[in-house]
Amino acid sequence: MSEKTGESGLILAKMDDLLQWANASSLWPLSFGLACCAIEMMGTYASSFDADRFGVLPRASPRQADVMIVAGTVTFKMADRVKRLYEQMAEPKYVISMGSCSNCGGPYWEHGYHVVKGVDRIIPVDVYVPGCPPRPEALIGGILKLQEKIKGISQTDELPVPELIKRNRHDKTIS
Amino acid sequence: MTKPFPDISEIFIYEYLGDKPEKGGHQIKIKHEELKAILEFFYRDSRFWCDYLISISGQHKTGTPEQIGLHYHLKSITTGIEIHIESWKEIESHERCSFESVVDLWKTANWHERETSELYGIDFIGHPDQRNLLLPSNWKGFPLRKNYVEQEVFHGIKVKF
Repeated sequence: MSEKTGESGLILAKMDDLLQWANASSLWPLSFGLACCAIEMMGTYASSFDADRFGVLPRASPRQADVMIVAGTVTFKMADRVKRLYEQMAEPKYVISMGSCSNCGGPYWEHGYHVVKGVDRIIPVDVYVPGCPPRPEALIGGILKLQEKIKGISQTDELPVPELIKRNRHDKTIS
Repeated sequence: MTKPFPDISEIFIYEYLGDKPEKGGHQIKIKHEELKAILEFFYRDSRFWCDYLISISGQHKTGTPEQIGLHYHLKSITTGIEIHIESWKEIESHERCSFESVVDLWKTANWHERETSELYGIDFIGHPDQRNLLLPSNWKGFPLRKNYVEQEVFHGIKVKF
């Protein structure tokens, strides 16, 4: 810019836009998979679909992760662990529920005595990706939807946040 | 040949198996009191030499009386014999029952018995470490029994859809 005008290199922008841009462009997911959806998730990370294009690169620690991709069947035994991992993540944190099992129990909805019928019963979910399992394109679609959502959330002020998103992120009680 | 287990005669075994042990498999049903002794016989006897335990499976039958069954699939790598042994025991409804453990014969039995134990409510007497293998440790009920009733709530999460 300074080269073009020959004057001072100053850009005027809203702090919000910068933070939103930073948040949405570096969605680091927590690296864990629960079932066959995890295979598709790994495919998404790998070179054919290359989720790194969107700044998505899996991290091995919940302390460094921004988004949790719940990829697979959440059993009651795993539910406690999923909840704990979610609580260990630093704010702001988001959840993508990937596949029928974590959306609503999937094929285990009726006779699956051991399956949590939807991961939203333990942690608040931002984006649901349907499919059994969803193809990598679908997961990428989910990630893009989440980016859209983040760009609509004010990082500095609580007021402009839509009521639905606020309820989803902060006030949803764990029942 | 000396008989290691005097309470099980050769005649007794041949009554179950027919003339002589063959390759291809036998299926025998025995009383639960004799189960451990017969399994040990098949393990130690040189004509059978069942050194490989393929699986232990449970089975539950409703009705009066309720019954719990165990199926042992034995195989001998040396002689090629395959034997399927089943044994049934009457139980009280929704109560645990007990069988003898065979971990001292086959190490494989350890996890098989742990799994069967939690899913059917069977105590294996003599098992070294009978914690739940798949289910959470404070799970109520035995999921693979026919009359299993799901819990309402587990760790504050509703179980039903």
